[in-house]
Amino acid sequence: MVDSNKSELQNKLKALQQNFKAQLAKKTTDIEHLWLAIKQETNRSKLQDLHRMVHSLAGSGGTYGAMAVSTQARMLEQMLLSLLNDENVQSSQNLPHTVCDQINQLILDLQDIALAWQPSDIPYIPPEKPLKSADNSLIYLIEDDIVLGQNLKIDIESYGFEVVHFTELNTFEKAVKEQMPAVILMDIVLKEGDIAGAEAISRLKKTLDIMPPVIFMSVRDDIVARLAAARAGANRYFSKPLNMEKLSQTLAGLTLRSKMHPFRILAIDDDKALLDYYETVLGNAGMEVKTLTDPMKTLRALNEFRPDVILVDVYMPNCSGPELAEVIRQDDGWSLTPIIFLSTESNLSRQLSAMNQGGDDFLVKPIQASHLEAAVTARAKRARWTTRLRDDLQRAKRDNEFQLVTMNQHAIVCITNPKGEITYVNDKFCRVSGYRREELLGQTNHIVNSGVQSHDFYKTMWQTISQGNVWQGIMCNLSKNAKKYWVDATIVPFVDEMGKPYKYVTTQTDITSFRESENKYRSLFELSDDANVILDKKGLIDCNQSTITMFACKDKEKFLAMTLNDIFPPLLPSESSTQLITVNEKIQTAYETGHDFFEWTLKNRAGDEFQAEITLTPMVVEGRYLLQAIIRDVTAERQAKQELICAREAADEANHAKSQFLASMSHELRTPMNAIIGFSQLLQMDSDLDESQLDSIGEIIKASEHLLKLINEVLDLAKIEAGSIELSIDSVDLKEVVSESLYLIEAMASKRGIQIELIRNGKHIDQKNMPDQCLMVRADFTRLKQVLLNLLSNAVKYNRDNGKLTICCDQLDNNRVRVAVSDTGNGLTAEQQALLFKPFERLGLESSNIEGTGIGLVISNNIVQLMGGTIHVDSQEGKGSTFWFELDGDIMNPNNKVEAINSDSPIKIDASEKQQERQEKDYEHSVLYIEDNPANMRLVSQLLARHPSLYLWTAPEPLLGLELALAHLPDLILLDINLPGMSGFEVLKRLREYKETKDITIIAVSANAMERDISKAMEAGFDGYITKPINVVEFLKTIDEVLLKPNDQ
Amino acid sequence: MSQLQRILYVEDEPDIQAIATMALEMVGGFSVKVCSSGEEALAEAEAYAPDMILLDVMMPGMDGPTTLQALREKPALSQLPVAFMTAKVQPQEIEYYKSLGALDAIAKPFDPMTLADQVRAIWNSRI
Repeated sequence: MVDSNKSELQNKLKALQQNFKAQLAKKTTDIEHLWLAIKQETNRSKLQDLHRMVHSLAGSGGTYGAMAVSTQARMLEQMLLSLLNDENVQSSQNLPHTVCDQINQLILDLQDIALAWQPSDIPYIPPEKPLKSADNSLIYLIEDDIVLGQNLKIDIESYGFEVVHFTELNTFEKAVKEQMPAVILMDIVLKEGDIAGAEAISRLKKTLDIMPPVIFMSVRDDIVARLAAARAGANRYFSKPLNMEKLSQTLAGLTLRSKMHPFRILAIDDDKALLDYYETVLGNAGMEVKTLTDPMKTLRALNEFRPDVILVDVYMPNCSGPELAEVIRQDDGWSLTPIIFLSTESNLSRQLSAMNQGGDDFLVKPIQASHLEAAVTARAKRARWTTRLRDDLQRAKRDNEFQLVTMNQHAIVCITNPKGEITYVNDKFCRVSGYRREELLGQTNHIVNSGVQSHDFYKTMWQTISQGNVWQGIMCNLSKNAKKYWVDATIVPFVDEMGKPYKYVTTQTDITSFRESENKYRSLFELSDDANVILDKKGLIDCNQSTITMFACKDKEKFLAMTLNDIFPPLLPSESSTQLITVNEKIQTAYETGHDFFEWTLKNRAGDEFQAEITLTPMVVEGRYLLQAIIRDVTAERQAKQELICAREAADEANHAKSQFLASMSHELRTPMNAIIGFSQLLQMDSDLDESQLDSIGEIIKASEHLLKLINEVLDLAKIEAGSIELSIDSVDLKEVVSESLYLIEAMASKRGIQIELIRNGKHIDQKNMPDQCLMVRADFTRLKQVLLNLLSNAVKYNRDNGKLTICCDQLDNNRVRVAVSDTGNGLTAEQQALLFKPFERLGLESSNIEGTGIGLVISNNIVQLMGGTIHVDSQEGKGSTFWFELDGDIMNPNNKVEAINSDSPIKIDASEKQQERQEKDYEHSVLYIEDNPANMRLVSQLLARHPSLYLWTAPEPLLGLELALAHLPDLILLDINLPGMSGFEVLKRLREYKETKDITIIAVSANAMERDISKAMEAGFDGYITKPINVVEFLKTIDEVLLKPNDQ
Repeated sequence: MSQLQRILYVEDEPDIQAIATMALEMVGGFSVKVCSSGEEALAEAEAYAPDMILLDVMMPGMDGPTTLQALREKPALSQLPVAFMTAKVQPQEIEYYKSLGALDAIAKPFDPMTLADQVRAIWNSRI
C-alpha cells in the first residue's frame, strides 16, 4: 500500500464535489434546452446526444454522491432509450404525446432535485484531540505523511499513550528541548532526506544529556537504513507496514523501563565483606540488592525478594553454588532467572561444569566494579524481557485455548497432517460423523467422503491447500450410518517458514437442514405455475421456467436481459392521475413494509401487454437484499369474469324482456278473448240456432275459457318469476282456507264419484261439521287458497273414478304446519316426478282428455316458496300421489278470538252485502275497516255487530277502502298496515291529503307489535294503534272512546 | 507476478475522470493516463504501454466494447488486462463483458476510497 495522504484526498474530493454542484444547474438546463430543440425538430443524432448527456449525469451524479439526481437521470435515460429504440420516431410529428409529457415532467423534476441537492456525503473525519500535559507515557511521533501519522497516532493512543505527531524535524527538535518524551517514534525516510530521521536522532544525542528510547520505523528494510538506525542508538526497528500489536508491546516495555522498578539482585556469598562490596557497587548503579550469607535461606529469600538476577558464590559451606543453582532450577518459577556464579575458579572446564548445573554466567574474582555492573545489568535486562515474553506467550496461549473452545462449541473441527491423516477431531466432528475418535485418528478425510462430489472437486481442493492457500466450499459428507450431511467448510493450511503446509485445520458448519429447505424452496420456486422472479432495484437476477413462458422468452438469459422497466412499464396508478409510477416505488414499499401486493400491466418480450397480480416479498440471500416477485397472469381470469358479468347482464335483460313481453302479450291476448267469449255467449242466447250450432258455440266458449285461463296463469307465473307479486302474509286459519277450497271443488269431485276425506292431526273430521278449533299458519290467504285449489283440482283430475281424495293438516313439533293432499290415481314415475315442476310439462297427458295448462303446479310451488315452504311429492305408481308442503304455524293463540266470536255459523266474507240491506242512515256511527285477511275481517265484523248503533263498511283492498272513505266519510277508519298493492301508511297519507277525510280518526290495526312499529305509525299520523291478536275488551273500549267524542258527527 | 502500476483510463465524462484519476493515483498510487474517447485510447495505448486498461462502456463514437475490440487487434495489446466501468452490472451483463475478453466490470458509481482496491483485486484475479 502506497503511503497516501487521505485528508488531502478528502479535501480534493470535497472541492470536486463543490465544483460538480456548481455545474449541476447548467447541466440540467442544457438537457432541457436540447429537449426543447428536439421537440421542435426531431432527429436521431440530437436524441442520441441528449441520451448521452443524461447518461453522463446519471453516472457522475452517482459518483459524486448525488443519488437522487442520479436516480432521476436514470429514469429519464430509460425514457429516452425507449424513444431511440422506437423505429417510428423519425420526426417530431412522430413523438408520442404521452412520452413527451412524461419526459417534460422528468426533466422538470430533475431540475428541482438537482437544485435541492447539497454535497454532504463527505466521510466524517473526527477532530483532533487537544494535547494534554505530557507524562512518561508521552510519545513523540515523527511521520511526514499526515494521514498515516494521524492514523498511527489514533492507533497508539488507543493503547493508552499520549502521542504528539510531528511532520517536520525542526519542530520536533524544538519540542524535545522543551519537554522530554518517554519514547521517540521516528520515521527514517523523511522529506528532509532518505535517512534524515536517523541523522536527527544522532544530532540530538550529542546535545542531550539523557536520551529517551528511540524506535525507528521505515519502508526501508535494507542494511544501510538499519545500520544508520543502529548507529543512532535505535532501541527497536520496525519496517512498514507496522504491526500495531508488536509496536504497542514494545512501547509498553520501553515506557515501563523509564519508570520501572530498579533491578533486584540477590547476592549469596559466605564472605560478608564481598557481599558488602557487591551491594555498594550495584546499589550505586541504581539496583536494589539483598545479600545472603547462608545459602540454606535462599528459597525463602527468593519468594520474598523475587530477584531479577541471582549472584552465587561457587564455594560455600553446606551447599556449593552449582548445587544451589540446581535447587533453584527445580522450581519452574525460577527456571528462567539468570544465575551468575562468582568464583576465583579460573579453570575453564570447571567453569563449564558449573554452568551445566544451571548457571548462566561465570565471573572470576576479583571482579571489577564496572564489569560487575555491566554483567548484572545485561542479565537483568534480558531477564525482564524474557519474563515479559514468557508472560505474553502464556497469555497468547490462553487466548488461543479460549478461541479453540469457542470454535469447538460452534464448528466441526478437524486437523490433519500434510498427508491428510487426521490428527485431531473435536467432539462435534465425532457426533455429526457418528464415528468414535479412535476410528477417525490416523484416517484420511476419505472416511466421510460421500462420493456425491466429483473426484475433480477434491483434487482442486487439495491443489489449493497444498499450495498453502485457504479453501472454502460446500461438501457433502457421509456419516458412519450412511447418512449424508452437508457442510460449509473452510480449510486453512498452517505453513512453515518455507511456505510449506505442516498441518491443515478444517472447520465445518453443518448446513444440511439449511440445504434441505433451500432445495424445497428451489423446487417450489421452479415448479410453480406462477412466474417466480428474483430481483432487486437494479434489475432481474433469476427466474423460473414459468416466467420464461409467461414473458415469451426463448430462454432464461433473454428474460434476465430485460430491465425492470421493460417488463414493468411505468403506469398511471389511476385514470385521474397524471404522474407515472415506476415499479421501483413498489419495490421500495416491499423493502419497507416486508410485503407488497399490487396489480400491474406487464409487457412480455414481444411487447404484448397483460394484466398480472404481483406479490413482492423481500429476502436476504448471501447477504444481499433481494425480492421475490410472484407474478400471476390474470388476463384470462379478468376476461372470464368480465364475460360472466356481461352474460349475467344479458340474461337478466332477457328475463326482464320476457316478463315484459308476457305481461303485454297477456293483455293483448285477453282483449280479443273477451270479444270471443262475449259474442259467443250472445250467440248462445240466440234462439234461432239449431242444436249443432249450439254445440259448436259451446265448444268455442269452452276452448276460449281454457285459453283465457292459460293466459291468466302465464301472466301469474311471469309475475311470480319477475318477483313482482306481493304477498300479504298474515295469520290465516287453515280451516277456513280448506273449507272454502273444498266448497269449490266438491261438485267436480262428486261428478267423478270421488270421496273426500279430511284428517287433522291424525283424526278424521266430518267435513260438514268441522270443529271450531283453528289451525293457524303464516300465509297470504288468497294465495294459499290458490295453491290448495290447484292441488285439490289436480287430485280430482288425475284421480281414478270413484277414487278417494284426502286432505291432511298436521301441527308439527317445530311449529310448522303440514298440509298434504293425496289422491288414488295412477301415481307418478320417478322421471315424471323430476319433470313435475317444469312449466308447461304435462307428463305425457297433452293428448289426454284431462284439461290443464301445465303451469299450475309451477305457480303453486313458487307461491309456497315465497311463503317459506316447498311442495314435495311422494308417489307410488298405480297407487296414487301425495303432494305436501309445510308452512310456519302462527304463535298467535286463536282461543280468545274463538271465544269472542262465540258463534256457530261462520259469517261469509260478503257481509257487506247483508249490511247494505239495512240502510246506513239507520245507524248513529259508521266505521270503515280496510283489511285483506278474511279471518280478521270476520272477527271485527262480528265484534262490531254487537254494537247496535254502528254501521261497518269493509274493504278487502286499499283502493276500494279509499273509495268507500270518500263516499261515506265514516267516523272511524280501522286500517291494516300490511295490505296488498299499497301499504297502510300510503293509504293514511292519501286520506290525510283529501280535505274531506283528513280529520277522520284513523286507527292502525297490525300484527307488528314492536314499540318501534307503533311509534313509527303514530309519527306517520295514526290516531291509535291496535295490535293483533286483537284484545276484544281493549278493542271495544278504544272504539267507544273514539265514537263518543263530543265533536263527532 | 509483477506489480500493477500503469493504468490507461478511458472515460468521456470529465467529472468522473477527475474523481477516478484522483482515486487511482492518490489512494492506489498508480500512474494513470486518461483518454476521453475510444479513438484517443487507440492512438495512445501502445505508446503509454499500460499494465491495465479501464474502459467506460457507453461513450460517444466508439463505445467501450468496440474500443476493446480495436485494442485487441494491436499485437502489443492483445493480451492486456481490461476491465469495464459501467452502471450495468447485472450478472448476465458481466458475463457479456467477460465474453468480450474483459476481466471483470466495476460498478458505477464507485467508491473513490476503494476503487483502487477493486482494480487491484481484478488485476490479481487474472491468470
